[in-house]
Amino acid sequence: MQSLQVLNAPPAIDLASVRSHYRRLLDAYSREQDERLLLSFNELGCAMEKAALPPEIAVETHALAIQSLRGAEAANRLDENELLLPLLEVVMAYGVTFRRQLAGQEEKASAQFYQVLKQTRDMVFITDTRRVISYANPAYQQVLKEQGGTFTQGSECPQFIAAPDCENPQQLWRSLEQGESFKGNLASTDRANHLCIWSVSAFPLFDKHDHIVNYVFLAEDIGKKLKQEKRNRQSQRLATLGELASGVSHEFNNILLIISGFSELLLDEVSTPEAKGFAQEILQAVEKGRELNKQILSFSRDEECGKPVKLATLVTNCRTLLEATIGSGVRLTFSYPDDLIVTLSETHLCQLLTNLVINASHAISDQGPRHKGEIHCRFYTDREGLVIGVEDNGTGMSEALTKEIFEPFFTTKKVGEGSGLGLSIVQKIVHQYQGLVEVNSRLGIGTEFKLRLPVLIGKQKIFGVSNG
Amino acid sequence: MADILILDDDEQILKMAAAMLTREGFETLTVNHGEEALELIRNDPPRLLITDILMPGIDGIEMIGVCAQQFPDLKIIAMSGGRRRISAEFNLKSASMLGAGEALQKPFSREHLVQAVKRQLEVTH
Repeated sequence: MQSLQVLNAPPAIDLASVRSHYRRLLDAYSREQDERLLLSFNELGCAMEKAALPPEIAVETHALAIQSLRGAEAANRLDENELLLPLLEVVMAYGVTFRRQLAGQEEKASAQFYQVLKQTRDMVFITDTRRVISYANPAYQQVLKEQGGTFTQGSECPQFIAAPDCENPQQLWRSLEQGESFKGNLASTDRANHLCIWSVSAFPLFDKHDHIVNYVFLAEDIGKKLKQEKRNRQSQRLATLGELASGVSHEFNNILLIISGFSELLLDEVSTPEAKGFAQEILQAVEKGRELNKQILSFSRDEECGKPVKLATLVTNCRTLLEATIGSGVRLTFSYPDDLIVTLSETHLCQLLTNLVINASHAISDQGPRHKGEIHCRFYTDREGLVIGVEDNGTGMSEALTKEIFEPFFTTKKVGEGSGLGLSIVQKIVHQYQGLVEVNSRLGIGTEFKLRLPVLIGKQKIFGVSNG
Repeated sequence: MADILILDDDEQILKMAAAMLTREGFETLTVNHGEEALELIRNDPPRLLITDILMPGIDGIEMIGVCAQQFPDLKIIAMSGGRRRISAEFNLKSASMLGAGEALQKPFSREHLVQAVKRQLEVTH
């Protein structure tokens, strides 16, 4: 058994040493027929694999060794199958390592995929075919948490609803159930009933019998992005309009001057009261044109957003102007917190309120002379900042109309009564503060405009008054 | 030379302003280009220059600057309607700073123009 120990030691690996070692091993194996020697072949195989010798070398080496042993009597003691066993051991060493490598790669890949799911900001969740969630990645769990819920195994897939600019949710399920993938924007609501818009990519997973077992959803919340895009588009349009308007306004002023100047000169020349009256009419029209031009110019001029001021002071200052503007026929009320500090310029607040209040008073007068008009301006705060609500009990608007009112030069008023720029001005100012304008209206009942302005600095500290 | 030289690139405004002021008894001369106006002033200066601000060629601001330096006795009235990013107020303010005695924002009334001219020429009626 002495030879066994010697032969067990793995040789230095190169082609020549492999060949001689293999021949010696095979020689010993055929003479002694000790199965433990097969382990030595396995070790040799491992060493060869480690040295990156290709497995064909093993076959070649085996063939050479058999040949050289052929003549020896010992080799003939083994049958064909027994003679193949040493070669199998060597080749198996390659196989085991290869399988181990594959398993390692798979493990590494699934660990990587897990990290991707864990770290992506996109929401990923998997449901079964009954739409019950079996996996939710941390991004989706986070969204659920922000919406006031928690994820538990067996939660329902979010309820998608039909909404403008979004795909019909039925389309999603139809595609998935037919084994097709789906890509599109879908809407759902959170617990506070706010609309969420998701860009969703979903596809079914199949088992090996080609049956659908799961649906995979990849989703991104694009609500904020859409809002910002919409705001940018509108601002862009208003800016272009402003540019155009101010370019025309100089020419317009010249033309108005010519009309008014010659009308005044005409007044000298005509003697009949009727002719004088006509010239006066022209002068009145010029006056209207001048007002309109002033409005167009104020629309195109950018004013700086404000410094921190007390909201109460701003409102008090604007209030006098508003009361004078709408007259005494309508009850105008205000409610606002006393202690808010905001970054809103007084000119802007006055422009915002005047435009909205004038529109409100027109909506009220359209209800007829007997209608008791009320306009309420309320200021309050929410998560994102200051909210200004202007509510009236005027005629209200149809849904179709509420979509058109922000168009520059759109007006429901008679010719000469409104420029159609009022709400565009409101929108432009609100956008300057990165805010939003919302409108809620019901025909025959009234309208409320809400301006959401992120201009809140905080609450003024109110010190207690000592009784001493 | 006439009492008043009126400069504007718009012929209709020239005709109108001249008619208004002639009726008040002033002698007027009209011109629609800055270079030409300077030429006329150099040859025989009027008492008063009424000039538009935004014009092709020499514009009103340049005109007022040159006149205020070279003809200190010449009275100046500026008029403007504003354009692009430059407001009428800004133009007229610049004009006043450079030496215009009066600034009229277009469109102005006949009354405003006549009063401004009378103030500059110190005419009392």
